[in-house]
Amino acid sequence: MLPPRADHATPTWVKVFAVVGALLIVAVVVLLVIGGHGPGRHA
Amino acid sequence: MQPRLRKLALTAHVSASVGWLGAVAGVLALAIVGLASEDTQTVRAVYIAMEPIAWFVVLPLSLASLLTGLVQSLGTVWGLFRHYWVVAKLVINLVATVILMLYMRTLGDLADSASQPGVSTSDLRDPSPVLHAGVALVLLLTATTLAVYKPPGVTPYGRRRAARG
Repeated sequence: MLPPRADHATPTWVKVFAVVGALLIVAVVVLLVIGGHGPGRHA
Repeated sequence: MQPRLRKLALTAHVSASVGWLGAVAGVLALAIVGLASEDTQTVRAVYIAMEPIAWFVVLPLSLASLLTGLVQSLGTVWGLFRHYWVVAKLVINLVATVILMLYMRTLGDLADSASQPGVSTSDLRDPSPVLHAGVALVLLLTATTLAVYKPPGVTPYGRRRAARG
């Protein structure tokens, strides 16, 4: 039998989604900070 | 929302979202050709063509997908913040649309460079459209998968709404 609040737990796929999203955001921020990325790079 | 109106809204949302996916796949194909082709005219044509395709096809479809998605979620029992899969789709849609808007300037710069005869093909080639269209394609495929499978999971807000009835 599941614990009473098991249905209230955040699903695993949501946690995976959040981690992958956070990693992508960090990667984009790092690229923007080091200057090798971003709008106007070709200007 | 009435059943007929709901079906119309769903048709509009699916059409816009899948159309966006297809348009991005087309841009990815062009971007790969631009990177790989040995023919100068082809490379120039690819970078010039990508800008109007983005302005007149990709961007309108992304905005239509966002708008019809909001109508679809707010006008049905799914809601906008009740289910994790709807929230995830909203986040994907917003992120992809904002990045697309920011990237329009780069596409414009690439098209300008491609129209100048003085710019060599090697200077013109750019992996950036392949990267952006590739990431966009993955994001949109993820959103499509979420929409079809509707993985379970109710947000705390959704639970409170359900408890209230």
